[in-house]
Amino acid sequence: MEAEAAKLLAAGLCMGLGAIGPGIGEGVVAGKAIEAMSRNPKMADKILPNMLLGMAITESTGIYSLVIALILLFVV
Amino acid sequence: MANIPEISVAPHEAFQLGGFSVSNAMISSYVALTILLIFLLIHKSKLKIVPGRVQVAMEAMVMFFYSNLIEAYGSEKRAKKHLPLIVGLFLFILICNQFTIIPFAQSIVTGDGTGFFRNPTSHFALPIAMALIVFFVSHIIALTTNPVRHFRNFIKLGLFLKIRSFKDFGNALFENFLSILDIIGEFAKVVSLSARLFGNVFAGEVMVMVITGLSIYTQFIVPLPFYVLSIFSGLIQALVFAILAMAFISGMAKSVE
Repeated sequence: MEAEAAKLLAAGLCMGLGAIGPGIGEGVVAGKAIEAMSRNPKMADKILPNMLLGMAITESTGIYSLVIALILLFVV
Repeated sequence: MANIPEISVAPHEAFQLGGFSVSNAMISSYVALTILLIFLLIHKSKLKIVPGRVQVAMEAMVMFFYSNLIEAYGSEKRAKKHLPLIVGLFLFILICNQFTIIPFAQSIVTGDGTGFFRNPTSHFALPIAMALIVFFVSHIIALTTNPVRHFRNFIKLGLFLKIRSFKDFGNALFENFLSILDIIGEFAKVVSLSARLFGNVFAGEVMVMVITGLSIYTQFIVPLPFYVLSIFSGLIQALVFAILAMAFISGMAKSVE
């Protein structure tokens, strides 16, 4: 295999596999937040920022794989 | 592929200044700093007892961080001491992340076709520098309050002196192994803090670039939702960076008390 092709394949695999975990995680975060909101609608405005924060932190593993993919594509 | 503009992780060099190359990301970070300074100086002179719209927003923002800091530290004196660092980081990252939506900033182009301005946080050096600031501040605070305790938190060789039985020996070995992981974790904090910010901002930029470059018809209305998404994620990432910096610093300060 040529180096260029391996690079493209690696970037695609990195992003695709790396998106599985954060996808599941963000779904869990959103699901639990909505559960909490529907149980206690008065707390909704307090839960929402915390949910967004938790999502941003959950997303970070996906972002790491994105950084690796970008480095593979544009730097190496 | 259509005419997708050239995407590069490294920033372009704008000019040389006494042997140092000044990149476009660096210029824009200074511009962002100037915008922030001018904004704050104007609004500092306008402070009133009955606050205006901007003052209400700024007071709410400062109070949000202040109450969070008091919760994290448990003392108001310390919270007041560290508030400027956290709020400063937040405001600077906020302005840097929204750099692309300054009108015409993207249209200014140097001679060789590269932009004169570039989103400062989409260059890896700035997030890493800010993460290193947080890292050093947290460790220096811990070292100045109680250096012996701080080293003992990481290197637990003292447990070997307290061995009474074979079970204690295993425990001591395990604790020392965990402390090695702790030391690695400290450096991983810097990487995770900076890579999160850089990845989000750079990904937003690349996404808009790819959508714009797909065809002629996707240049006008189609990138709008992606712009909105990157503006929103820029705000969230600034908040996340500030809150995680707060958590790291307060956690380190609390561990030596």
